[in-house]
Amino acid sequence: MIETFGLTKRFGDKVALNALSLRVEAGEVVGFLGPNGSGKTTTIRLLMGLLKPTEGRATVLGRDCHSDSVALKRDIGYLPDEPFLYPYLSGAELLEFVAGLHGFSKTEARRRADAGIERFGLGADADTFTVSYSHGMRKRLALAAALIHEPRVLILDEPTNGLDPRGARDMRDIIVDLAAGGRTIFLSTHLLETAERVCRRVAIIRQGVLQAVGTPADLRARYAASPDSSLEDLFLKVTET
Amino acid sequence: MGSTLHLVRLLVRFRLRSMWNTAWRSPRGKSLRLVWLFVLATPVAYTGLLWTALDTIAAVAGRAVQGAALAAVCGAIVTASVFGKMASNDAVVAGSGENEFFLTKPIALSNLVLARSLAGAATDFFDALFLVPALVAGALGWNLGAPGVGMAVATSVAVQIAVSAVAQAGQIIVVRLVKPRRRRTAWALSATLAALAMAGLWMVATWVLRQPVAAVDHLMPWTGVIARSPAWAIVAPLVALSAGGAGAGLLALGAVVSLSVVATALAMFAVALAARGGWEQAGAPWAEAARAVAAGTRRRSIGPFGKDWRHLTRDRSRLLRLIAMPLVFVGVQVFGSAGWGWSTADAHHVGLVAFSLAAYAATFGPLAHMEAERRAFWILRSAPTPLGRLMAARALFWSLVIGGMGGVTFLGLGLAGDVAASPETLLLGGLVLLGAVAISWLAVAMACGAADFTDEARSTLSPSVVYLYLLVAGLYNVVLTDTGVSRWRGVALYLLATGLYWSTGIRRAADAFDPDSQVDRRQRLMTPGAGASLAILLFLGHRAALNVPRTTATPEAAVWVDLAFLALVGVCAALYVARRPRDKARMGWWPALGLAVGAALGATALLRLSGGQDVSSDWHGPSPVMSIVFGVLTVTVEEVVFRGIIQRALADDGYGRVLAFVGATLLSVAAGRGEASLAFVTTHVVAGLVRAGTGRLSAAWLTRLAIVGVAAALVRVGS
Repeated sequence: MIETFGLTKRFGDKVALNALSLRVEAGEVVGFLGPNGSGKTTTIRLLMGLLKPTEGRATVLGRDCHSDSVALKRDIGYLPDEPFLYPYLSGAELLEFVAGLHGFSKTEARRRADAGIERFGLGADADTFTVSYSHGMRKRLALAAALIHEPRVLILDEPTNGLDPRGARDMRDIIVDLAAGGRTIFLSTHLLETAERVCRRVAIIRQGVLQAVGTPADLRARYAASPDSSLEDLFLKVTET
Repeated sequence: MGSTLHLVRLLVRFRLRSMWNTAWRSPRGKSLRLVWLFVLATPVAYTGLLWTALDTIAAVAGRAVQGAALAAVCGAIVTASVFGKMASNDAVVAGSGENEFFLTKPIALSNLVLARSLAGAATDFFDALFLVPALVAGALGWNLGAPGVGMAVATSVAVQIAVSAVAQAGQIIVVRLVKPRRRRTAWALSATLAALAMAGLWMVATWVLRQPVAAVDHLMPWTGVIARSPAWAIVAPLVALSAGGAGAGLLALGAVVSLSVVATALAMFAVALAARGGWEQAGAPWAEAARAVAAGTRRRSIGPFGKDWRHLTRDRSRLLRLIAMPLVFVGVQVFGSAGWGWSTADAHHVGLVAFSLAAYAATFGPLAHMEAERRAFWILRSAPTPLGRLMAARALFWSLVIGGMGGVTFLGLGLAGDVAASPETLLLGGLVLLGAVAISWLAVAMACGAADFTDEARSTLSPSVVYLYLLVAGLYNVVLTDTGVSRWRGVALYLLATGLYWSTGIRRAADAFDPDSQVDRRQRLMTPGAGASLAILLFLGHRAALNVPRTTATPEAAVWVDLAFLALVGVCAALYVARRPRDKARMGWWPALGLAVGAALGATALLRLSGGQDVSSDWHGPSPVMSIVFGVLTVTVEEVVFRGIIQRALADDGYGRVLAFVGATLLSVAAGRGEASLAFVTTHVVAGLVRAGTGRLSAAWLTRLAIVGVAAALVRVGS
């Protein structure tokens, strides 16, 4: 479903991502964990075709993420870390616009926009310009936009970052619901509670190098951590050794 | 007061350190230092110009009129500075780094305003650069020496402090008195006033600098009024120093400083009153009242076209910039420097004004579109729609706006100026429309090509992009004034160049988030857009050289100008090619040489058989040696640009060898030197084919050199 083969990205002399090889199966929720600046966002941008790999390649649903990036996006929904939106479009208009970009007819675009507004609880502000949306509202609207075409794969960059406890819990519940619906979800986060609650497997990256990948139980066993130790303990153990 | 002075010291120290670090320690430091050099050199030029103008005025009028002229310029500078600073929203804009930082510290708003005003005198070079050159020119023009220059600087500092304080107070008063839902209108009004004040400054300064004697005639009756206006206070120290010596000068300077202190104190008082009940930030869109879609708008569907339309019409400050700024620029030309009579003299002049309006408008619209887009660009990049199609929808939208502006202006000015309706007028109207539509595509493409979203601090609209854009717009002005085949070659070059910039722009925009690709595109890749720029330079340089004999009488001057342009473009092209990886040859050297010789012989024979058309018009130096130098240089530079850069860049961009050959050949026929004839076209076609077949620039160069050289030799033998 999602595969990377020796994926490497250098920015000048700095190696942001070093030979990442990873496989995410269909219907799986995989958390991509790492400290700040470890290469999580770079990986996600490579998967979205926003960056060109220096070496190696990445595929989603068998399509190359760089050379076939336009067709690939029919099946991918993307939520960036900082979802900036067009300030002078209303929430409903933005969703309609995105639905239009995915090729839906005007009527269908409107129906999907209304459904997205309803689903993510933005009804009261549907006609307000996004410039006055809070961070949480922008994030919910961006997620609604990412789901407008019902993609098979979701790539989420720090989905709960900057949200208040209520918003973070709502976002986690949404991700769990989406996973239950059979979608493949690849999410990056440095919030371990999020990962622990929603991910079947986690991959831990540090300084651009993949350190470990597996279920939390596997990793506990591999790193000789006690079965009741938290993912946070495990994360610190992996990233600080 | 002590705490304010402490804050001033901190502001000055850290602003200067920040500037130093940016210029000397940041990766963009080199280009920034060049900009700074330009910024610092500009006032020196202005001082010289105004000094010369005052000297001219001194020959026909007394010191009172000279003072009035200087006061008019200085008054216009100060007015523009007050409104400009007020429109910039520096003091109140929510979320601006410095403002948010200081307002979270235990500093009273009025103290912050005062500290900023005082610190600005040392760090805000642009303010000082406006007024200082004008006053220094006065001091030099009146032979006041070092004391005069010192007095000019002191006056400028005193005025600048008051201007800054008053402007900040004005912003704060707007926030306090205007309701949030009306504030956007107030900011838009403030921006309009700033634009008008800038236009006023431009007109007054242009008038005094370009036509000082005419300015004197107009100023003479107003001398008394100006002498009683606040603007006079600015020049009073210099006038007093000149008339009554140092004592009188210092007294007048004291008056200026006193006025500045009073104005600053009043501004602080107003700010203190405004902040008495607490303070709120304003200015940024999210800090103003939330607005919603008007009832009924939702029923209309929204695509890329509708999105751009709604965004433009709802973002009032952008809309205002788009409409007001070009109108101000063109208004200044029509009613100021060029004049109504010139602007509406005939269809050509009307066409130039209409196209200029469209081109200016495009700098505030499509040329700025990626800056407006930058933070939401991820939405377009995560959609399964090719970027080229999305940008084409955008260019189409802007074509209607900018094309409409150009067309309506041509029609309006034509009717108002009573320009005779004729086929040529209709044709010019069509050309204006075509040019305005194409410039929308060009601006969208150039903005795409310049977009670098990997660095938040880097604007997508750098001066180099604007200058390049103006160069291409300048090419179309030549088209509008030209006639015959030359005009159509210009049109073809303009449209082909737009296509090349489009190709380059869309490819670059796709990599806008990738820092590594940004380095690639600047340093390692060969782009069709760069080739188009060099081709336009070649074309315009040659056109400029053709016009030289009209003004100088000696035909050699034209040749030297032509040669200088050729050499300049040649050096640029050679450096560009040398810094990029070599192309892969498809044929060994000896087979390529054989093909080149064969192609040249074949083409020469064909041309002889078809009537012996001459293709040696490149070889037109004043002596045989110069002719050879000229001919070889022309062929070399053109081949490097057309075949070495454009044809290769198109092939590298994935257009294939055939399309690359067609594109480069069309462009070479449009921009190349020589009379447009079958022989001329044949020469370029053969050179292009050899380049495509061998993959070697040297083979194409040799082919063309042989064809043109043999033709020139035959002409010489025949004569």
